[in-house]
Amino acid sequence: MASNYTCKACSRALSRPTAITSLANGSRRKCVLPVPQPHRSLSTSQLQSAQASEAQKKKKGRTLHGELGGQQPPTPRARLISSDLRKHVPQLTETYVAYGATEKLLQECSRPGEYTIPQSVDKNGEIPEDENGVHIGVGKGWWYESLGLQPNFNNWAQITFMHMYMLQVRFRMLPESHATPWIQHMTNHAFYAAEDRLVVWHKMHSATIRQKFLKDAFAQWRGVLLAYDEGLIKSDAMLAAAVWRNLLSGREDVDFEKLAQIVGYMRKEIKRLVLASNDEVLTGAWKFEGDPGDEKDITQVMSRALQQREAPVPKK
Amino acid sequence: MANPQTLAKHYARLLSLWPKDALRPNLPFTKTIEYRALAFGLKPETAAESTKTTDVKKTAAPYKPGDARVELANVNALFLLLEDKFKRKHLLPPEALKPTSNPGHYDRLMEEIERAPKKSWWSAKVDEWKMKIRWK
Repeated sequence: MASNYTCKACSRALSRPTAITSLANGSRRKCVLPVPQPHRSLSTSQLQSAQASEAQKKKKGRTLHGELGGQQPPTPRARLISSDLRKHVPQLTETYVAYGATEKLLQECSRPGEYTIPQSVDKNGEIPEDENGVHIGVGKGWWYESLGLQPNFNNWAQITFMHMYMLQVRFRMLPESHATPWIQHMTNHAFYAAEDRLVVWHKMHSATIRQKFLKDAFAQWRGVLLAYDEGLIKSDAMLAAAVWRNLLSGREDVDFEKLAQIVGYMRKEIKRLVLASNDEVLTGAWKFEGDPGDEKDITQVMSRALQQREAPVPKK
Repeated sequence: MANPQTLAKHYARLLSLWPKDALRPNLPFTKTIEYRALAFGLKPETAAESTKTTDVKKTAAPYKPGDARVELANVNALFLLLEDKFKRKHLLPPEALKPTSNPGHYDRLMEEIERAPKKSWWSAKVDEWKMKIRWK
């Protein structure tokens, strides 16, 4: 397991752009075959992750399948070995492929809810808090600007969980031997990213406090899985209630139109994922399209109930 | 069409039609519908219970109805959700509802959700312990 302790010097280095790339390159593991060790990959910094992936390509040459046109190892011999391994012993190599691809997929999940806390970059900056002591950040995008969510850790987690849930529905459709590592690695990457976020932006140097936040987040993740599964199978009304309880924290004043847009967005993206081939999703290149605001046209269509002034047939 | 009386009637109908959630009796979605409906003169059904259980929690300020078109849009959105508009628009194929890795996943989940509120305290504990052991 990676160390839980982050000294002040490290966290200062992590938050400074110039220092990040050299630190990340140095900490990358060199050998592919032993059990993958979790490492601190700073999915929060786009510059760092782009440069680190370049360095990774040059260093290890860990491969995706040659046919999928993924990263290729440097020498022809290594290419032969890796493609042979993947062909003949897929259960051995699948977990490594999953580990790399889910890292990229998780970055895509966390992209919509991305936020920063500018005050934490300064040495003595004080992070702004709301009346409950929750750190407030600055974020762009539909979720923060249109829906009006506060850019904080909890909302980032919920937005990320929503997108991870959609991917999990797709991963469940893989054969059992593949579904397990893919789901496992995606979840692991999510919580590595969450912990990185707490260290870098929220300046949480105490591992015990970080653990408290991460445990809460994990409990929420399990709740999200149950609630969204129930909503997916049962009805739009149940899915809307699940989104209200999880993403909107069950608060009383809700914009129902925006809630319907979120439900429409979720169903649209899940359908798109379900219909996508394995090649489109499992290379890590999957991108979520648009945001719930694009569902505006559908929510403005008059419902049958209002058209006919009759009660719609209630569905359980 | 969007005057306060018709809106009140719409909210009353929405409240009666919204599905009940046996798993979350203290956090019903109808709370949000009532929050708006109060502004149109509807009497809340669950307000008495909520004041009993959650006195400490701050409730939001009373809702002020805005533009009539905005109100109607919100009512329309709720009716669209009740009609499963999005579910019917994006119907999932059977491969998704019976996934390869675990074809019975969603069926078992729905069964568990049905059973859970009806379990006695003891049977809930026994099930909890059963889940902690990997039987296969």
